Amino acid sequence: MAYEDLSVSVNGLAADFLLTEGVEIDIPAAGVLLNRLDKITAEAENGEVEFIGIIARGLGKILEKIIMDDLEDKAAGFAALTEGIPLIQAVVDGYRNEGGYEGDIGYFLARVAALTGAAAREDGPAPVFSAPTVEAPAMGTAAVDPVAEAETVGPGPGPRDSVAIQDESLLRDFVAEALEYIGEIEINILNLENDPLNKDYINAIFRPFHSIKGVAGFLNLDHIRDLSHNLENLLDKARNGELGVSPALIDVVLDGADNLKGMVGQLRDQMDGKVQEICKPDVSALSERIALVGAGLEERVCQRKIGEILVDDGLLTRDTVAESLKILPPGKKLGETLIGEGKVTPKQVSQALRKQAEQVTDLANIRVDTRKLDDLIDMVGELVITQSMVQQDLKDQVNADKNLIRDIAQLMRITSGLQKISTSLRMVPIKQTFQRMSRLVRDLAKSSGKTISVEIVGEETEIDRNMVDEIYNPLVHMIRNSVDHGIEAPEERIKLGKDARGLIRLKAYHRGGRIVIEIADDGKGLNKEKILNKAIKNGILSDGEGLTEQDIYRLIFLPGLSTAEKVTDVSGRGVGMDVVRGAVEKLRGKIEIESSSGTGTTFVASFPLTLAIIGGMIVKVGSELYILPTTAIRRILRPRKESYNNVIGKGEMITVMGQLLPLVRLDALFGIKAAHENPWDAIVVVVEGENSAKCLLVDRIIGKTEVVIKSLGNGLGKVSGVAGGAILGDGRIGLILDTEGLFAMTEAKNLQ
Amino acid sequence: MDKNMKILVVDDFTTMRKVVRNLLKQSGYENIVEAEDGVSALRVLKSQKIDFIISDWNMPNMTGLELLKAVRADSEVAQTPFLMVTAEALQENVVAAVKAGVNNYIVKPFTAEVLNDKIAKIVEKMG
Repeated sequence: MAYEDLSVSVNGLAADFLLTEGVEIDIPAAGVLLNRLDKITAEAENGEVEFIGIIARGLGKILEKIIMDDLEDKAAGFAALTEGIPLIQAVVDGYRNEGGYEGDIGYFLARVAALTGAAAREDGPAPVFSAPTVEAPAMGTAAVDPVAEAETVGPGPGPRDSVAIQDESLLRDFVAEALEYIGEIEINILNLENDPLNKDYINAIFRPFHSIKGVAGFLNLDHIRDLSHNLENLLDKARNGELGVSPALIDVVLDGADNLKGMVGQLRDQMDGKVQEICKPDVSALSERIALVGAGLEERVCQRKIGEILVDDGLLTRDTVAESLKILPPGKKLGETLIGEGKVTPKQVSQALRKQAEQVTDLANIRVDTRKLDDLIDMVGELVITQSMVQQDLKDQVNADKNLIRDIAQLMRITSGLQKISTSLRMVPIKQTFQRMSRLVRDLAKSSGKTISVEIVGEETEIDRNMVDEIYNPLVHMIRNSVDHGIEAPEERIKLGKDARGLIRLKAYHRGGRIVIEIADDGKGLNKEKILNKAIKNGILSDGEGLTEQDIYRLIFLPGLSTAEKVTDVSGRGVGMDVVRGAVEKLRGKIEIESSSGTGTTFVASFPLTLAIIGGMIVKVGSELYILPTTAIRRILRPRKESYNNVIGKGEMITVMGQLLPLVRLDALFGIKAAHENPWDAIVVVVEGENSAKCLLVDRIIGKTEVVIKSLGNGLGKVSGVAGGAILGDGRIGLILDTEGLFAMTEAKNLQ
Repeated sequence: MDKNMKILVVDDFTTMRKVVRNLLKQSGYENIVEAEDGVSALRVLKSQKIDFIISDWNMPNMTGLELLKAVRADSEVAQTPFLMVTAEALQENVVAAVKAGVNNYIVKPFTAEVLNDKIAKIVEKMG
């Protein structure tokens, strides 16, 4: 029978209770009693004797209050226990012997409720966000004044004033550790953004804030403690599922981490004597946002309050608004009240409301299908071309209408503006790529037993969304190189007098319509002699005469050098560097390397901002126009008759700068008729592929241009040797040549 | 009061361990070992005799509560006094720790006096 078990448990409880030492129940004893009560509750529920369960839970609550030191009248609590335990015994006995209990337990339950309820601070009504202000009619939702809300405060009572620890070495440790933790937060919050339901990420962000708060409390760093406390609370809500992980939450946590970093940095500067006094940063706006996001009111996070707008417009003082807010009856709007008090006119309020509504539209983002965006950008590209055709036609007319000329000029300005805007739509900050990379550094460092910190500069630099994925792989290669071969092991670094912790700096900026990405490490740098020796040994060079440092470093991008198996022994760098160069160049990018022995290496890669537009050279073969990507062209020349050879077994060759290069006849490849048969009558364009260079024979060079790349459409599928098509300035269509494809075609032909 | 007893301080935050160490030294405790999380704390407990454990609640890999449960489940060290450090006196957390057999808890931030007081009371009770 279940009552037998219950009876044993209840008697055990009574026996343990007798062992406690009066009113001061100590914590281990309370733990024993609580476990007993839990067991009784479970058994009572199994045996469907709810009664007993209810009493047991009531006693448990009293014990919990005692543990928490949360009872106003400790003696009363203890008395209730003293009375309740025999009561449970009586009830269980009643059930066991007579199948029921006749006595009254209602009075006892009332007493328990009075004890636990009265002292139950956390059971009180939850704080509600109810500060009313004026409603913005345009949105139909209430604006909220978070200042009135006390949700975000310091972490409650504590003997914090007496805890001052002014130990400089502790402070320094704290600064270093806190900065490291904030770095982790930044990485994890980006992971969280990609995977908002992953509780591990929330935890990984929560914990560092929590730890920072804990220590800041001891060190009397109130502002750091309060901010991390507020952020921690916010994340706790996300962890409990009270709040969703929204973009607003991500933003506010990132901003919070930034602010925290600033505060900690200031602390360090102060200790270093760089600043004399710490100016307490104003984080009230941030705290408000944290409170708003925490209350689930994120949509309106960015909205300025009506009172603020009126103050900013100089119509009211902050104090007046605060006063009116204080006496504001619930449900009433601030604007109305202010008008009623005669402090502002209805017109001023309506203007402020309009401003408020505008802000919302300003900040509203909409999600758009990227295909639609691509179509739009395509269409705008065509518009630009059509517009320039119209302009060209007009120029050809002798008696053009003056008004028409002016209007067309206006049209040109508008279309080019339109093009700029539409391309900017697809631009995204490089931030996410950088964050992924810094995560990679951490992982790689961990697996290679090094400690490496990552510094990020210019993460807001924008790049075409379509480029983001493309550049990632080559960048990963460079990072790997820096971590594996650039940065030394910690012991070695210490020996060299360097910080044991290595540094990799990721930097992005715009220059000349391109995005430049630098990956710099503070490792051992490239070894010039070893690279040179290796190059000479592999027959790439005969000697190092006249080579600049740059030239030597550049050698590591050569396949002959970098694919050699022992390259790691040579330069410590270079594994797959030719592959990296290939990938970068495929994206029409360029890669350079700077290095100095002992102090580090920097890769500088630059990419076009977008893959949609290409700089090219228009060439003519017969009646056809082709576009050659400028990046592939090495030189353009008209060969002399003597430089032309027809080598048996190799085909036609041209000698360019002492090098014998194969001649490619475009007309033969594409089955058209060129104007010139002899190379010395025509023009030769030396183009570079991944591994080799060839001479393309063309009739004429028309000029340089920038074109919007268009696919040939599904009807044609993939045409070898052609990368796409473009509409040229005069409305004609030109095919964009794919040098790699062309090379493959000629080699296939030679084999036949 | 034996000021020479060996105290194990468990916290993932290095600075926090140092804070606790400093506070303990202020009260005359000199024999202090540290562990950076629950897992390494258990390793320490296996390798040397520990007289008192002061552990943080919120740690990666293994929380303070999990460490407490592991200590209580291991008959060799089950009797070691355990003081839990928490950031907030959250009833839910404290009750869980009490049920798991914690000797007492202390809320951050605290002074050397409060810490010493809690340790002394626990040791006194243990006899």
